[in-house]
Amino acid sequence: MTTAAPPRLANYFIVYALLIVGLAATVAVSYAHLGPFNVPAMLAIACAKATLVALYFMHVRESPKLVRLAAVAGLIWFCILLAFVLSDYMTRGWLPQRGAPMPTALAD
Amino acid sequence: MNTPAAIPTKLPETPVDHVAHHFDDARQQFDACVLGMWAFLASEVMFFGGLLTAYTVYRQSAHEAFAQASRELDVTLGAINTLVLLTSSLTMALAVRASHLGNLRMAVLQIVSTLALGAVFLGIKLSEYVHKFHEGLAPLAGLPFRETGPEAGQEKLFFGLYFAMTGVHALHMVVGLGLLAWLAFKLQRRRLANPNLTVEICGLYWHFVDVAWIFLFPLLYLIDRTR
Repeated sequence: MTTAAPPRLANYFIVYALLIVGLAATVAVSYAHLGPFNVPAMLAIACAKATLVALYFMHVRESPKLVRLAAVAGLIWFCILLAFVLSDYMTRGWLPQRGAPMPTALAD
Repeated sequence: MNTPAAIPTKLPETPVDHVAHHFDDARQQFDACVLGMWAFLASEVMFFGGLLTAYTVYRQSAHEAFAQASRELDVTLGAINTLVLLTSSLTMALAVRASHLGNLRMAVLQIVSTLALGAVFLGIKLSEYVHKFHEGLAPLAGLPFRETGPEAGQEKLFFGLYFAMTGVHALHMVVGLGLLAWLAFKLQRRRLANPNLTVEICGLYWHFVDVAWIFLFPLLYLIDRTR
């Protein structure tokens, strides 16, 4: 299928330049003292880079809605996987365990 | 539309869409194939997703050990490899663009560039692996592990995940290189019925492998470099 008009050549180089900036930013963030904001900043940069690649290099931007839906589907399923696994692992300490000493507030 | 399509004995020099009988037109065929590829890529996201989930669970329970082990990895080589892979994504995108414009000569040139950059990535990755084995940081097949402190077990876990995640990624790269070599050969010989569709599909795969690395690089190499 020959599409009507592929995006301008310059667009590809602009996206590439932005990806390089993202790479520099993600390295810089790991050397910076951002405390609890290191992980969110790193993930935000990675997501921005992935979005650029998907939209412009993988043509999601010019694709039909069904293709866009399929492209987001993978991400959504991964989020479900992560959410359910972490809802187990991160809440294990919340309730008293059998055989373990009861917290004083619950002892009586 | 109703006349039976003549099957060309020799494919023409300029790309002409060859529509399979179960599609209405070339546009539908193109969109259906791209949709199918995205469905496959969604399954690939889940494939890496299992490893990423394991990584997340262990990193939040052993953050210090992971940060310590992460500092053993070479940031410079990792960053160079990221740059190489991003550049290969650019050349692949340019190959797709050239094939859409009917410039197959340019498409072949860009695919070969992509192939070369992919080979550079794998070469650097291999040298990193060899270095880790020499350093005693490869907890595979019962090899001795260098670290012996109280957090040695957790650092071993990090390197196990490092080898699993980058190994699976490298395997995808090897498949991608094979795919690109096949593509360049077929394209050069003008043997593809729908060159721009085939190039587009292979391009989607290559970009996916790039996106996977975009996440792997900061997760493995850049946990905490402040010390």
